[in-house]
Amino acid sequence: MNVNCKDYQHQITLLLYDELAEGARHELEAHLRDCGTCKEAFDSERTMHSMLADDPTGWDVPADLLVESRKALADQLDLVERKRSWWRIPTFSVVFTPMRLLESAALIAMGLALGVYVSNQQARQVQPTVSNPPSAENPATAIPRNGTISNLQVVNADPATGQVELAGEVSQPLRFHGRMEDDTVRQLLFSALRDGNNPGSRLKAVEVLSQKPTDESIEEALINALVYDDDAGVRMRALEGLKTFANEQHVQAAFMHTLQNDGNAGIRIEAIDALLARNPKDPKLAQKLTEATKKDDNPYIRTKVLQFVGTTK
Amino acid sequence: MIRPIRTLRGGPILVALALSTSAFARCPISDGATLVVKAAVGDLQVDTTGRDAAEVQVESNAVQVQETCGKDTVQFISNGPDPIRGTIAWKITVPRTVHLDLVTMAGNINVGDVDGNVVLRTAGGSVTAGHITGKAAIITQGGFIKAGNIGGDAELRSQGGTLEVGDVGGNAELHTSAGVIRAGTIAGSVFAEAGRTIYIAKAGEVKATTNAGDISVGDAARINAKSGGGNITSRRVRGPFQGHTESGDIRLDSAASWVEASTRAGNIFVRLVPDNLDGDLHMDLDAGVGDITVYLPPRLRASVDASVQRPAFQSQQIISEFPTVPVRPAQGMIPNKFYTGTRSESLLNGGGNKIVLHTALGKITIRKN
Repeated sequence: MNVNCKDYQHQITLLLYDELAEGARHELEAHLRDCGTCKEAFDSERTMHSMLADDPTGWDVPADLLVESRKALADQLDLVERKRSWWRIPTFSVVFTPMRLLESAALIAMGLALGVYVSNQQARQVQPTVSNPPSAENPATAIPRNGTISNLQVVNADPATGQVELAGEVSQPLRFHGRMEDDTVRQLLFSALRDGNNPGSRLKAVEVLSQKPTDESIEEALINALVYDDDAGVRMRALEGLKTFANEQHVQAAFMHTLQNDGNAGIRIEAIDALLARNPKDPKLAQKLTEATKKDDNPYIRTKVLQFVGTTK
Repeated sequence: MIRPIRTLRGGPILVALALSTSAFARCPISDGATLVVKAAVGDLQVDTTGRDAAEVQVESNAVQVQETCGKDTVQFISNGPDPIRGTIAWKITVPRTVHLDLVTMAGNINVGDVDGNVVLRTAGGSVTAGHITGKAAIITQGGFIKAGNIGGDAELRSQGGTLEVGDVGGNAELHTSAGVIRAGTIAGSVFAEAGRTIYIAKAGEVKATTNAGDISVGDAARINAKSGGGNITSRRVRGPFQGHTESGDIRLDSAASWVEASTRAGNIFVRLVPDNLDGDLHMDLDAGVGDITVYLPPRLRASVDASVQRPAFQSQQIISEFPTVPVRPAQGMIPNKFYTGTRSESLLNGGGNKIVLHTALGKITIRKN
């Protein structure tokens, strides 16, 4: 491909948007008839152009795109500005006029931004929202653009071959859609429950898990949150999720543990109310409750147990 | 005047009834007087459709009640039955024009609409109240509290339950260590402390703290919010905003004054829409891991300092619709792209309000309103 072809290919976008001057258009069309490389570039760009035109509603261009394009253009302008002295040399100024380069830079910037956006859109349409595993052939593509690299170390560097081995950690934002039945969804929620530094995340995980407390693993997770979580709000929400199962043995045991050990009277009151409502006239439970609550400092709890014991006699 | 309780025990015909019948007491009561009930145990159900008298009926023959009929105060006091069997209910009927001061050591409280002030306390159990024209203090050691509109100041406290209140004419103090808070329009200031989510439709000055959960304030004159983990959002804050969450987003759709917001993990979105461009409109936004997006008025005079501590692999870090000036490196150093990509400064309309935007890991976007 010679220099002329580069110039012609820069004009293809303008041609497709009907922005090319009459004379230049005839010249380009004549060139396209003769040059296979440029014809191929033209066909490729025309395909993209028609794809966008076919479904204008599907290509909701984000506001960021314009800003990013402007930024890229501004960067290119800076570049031109810094190298201005070179253009003053007559030999260069004939072939590479600043205006021509500016036009090229603008088109390249817009093309790049559009290309990135379109490829992101296509990836979004065909892939789930989790990133692909690292590609063995091209590891660079495995690093997401919005990922952050930390703890990067040079494991190996061979000056003879130019090969470098790097190791580090990549983190990126995660967004995942799925059903509660999906194992990955559950594992992510269970993982949130184990996030000791984030009670808000644990609370939201418990709220979601409480929607499906019939599942054994979810029930266990809720019991674990009720018994061991440091945050009273999380424990209370877990208890609310388990309330309807207070007649089941392991849930009952967890509630008894709460009655004896939870420092929050509000949670103990919820526990006693749930136990009494779900286990009416159960003499064995009455005996256990009497033992468990005889030292409770809350009069409501003691009274409720006394009332319950009365109903079992 | 203290009289022993009159029960419905009478002649021989009523002997059989006496085994399962209820205790009953009655005192005349005038508008503006206070009814005091101190129940050792039992649910209190207060019907406020009565006329000229306060009546109490306790559905247990094991409860002894003492009544005191005064001009300004009518009082019913009981000791606890021994042993307690089954549920005990106090059915109380009073005119709605009185004040209520009710305590039960163990039981729920249910009150209709009241024109006076109310004090409702239980050591455990839920409290439900209708519209209260005067002031309200409702306290339970556990269980939920639900109240309609309250004309004066409101104080609602529960150790564990959820608090729900309609509109409040005065100031509000809302505390629950493990529950949710939901409130309507609060004319005065509100101090809300919850174990979980806090929703306030509209208020004057808001101070809200939760250990875990979101804080959502529709409209407020001023907000100071802190969450141990959850989002903090407001549709409109007419004055200063201060907010911090350990994890979660902070979103202000319309902020009229200065904003100081930080999150350890989450995005921050602020749209600055000041009534007065000459007021204090400084901004200090810090997102540990997350993006920052701000919308600023085009005529705002500000000095913007935006920085990204740990830039992402390839994507752009700082995007601004205002002209920005890359921060120059220290004197003597050669400018290069590693500086320009992660920190920029802008003087908007000659500079003025200090706007500091910082994220450790994320993107910063500055747009014009």
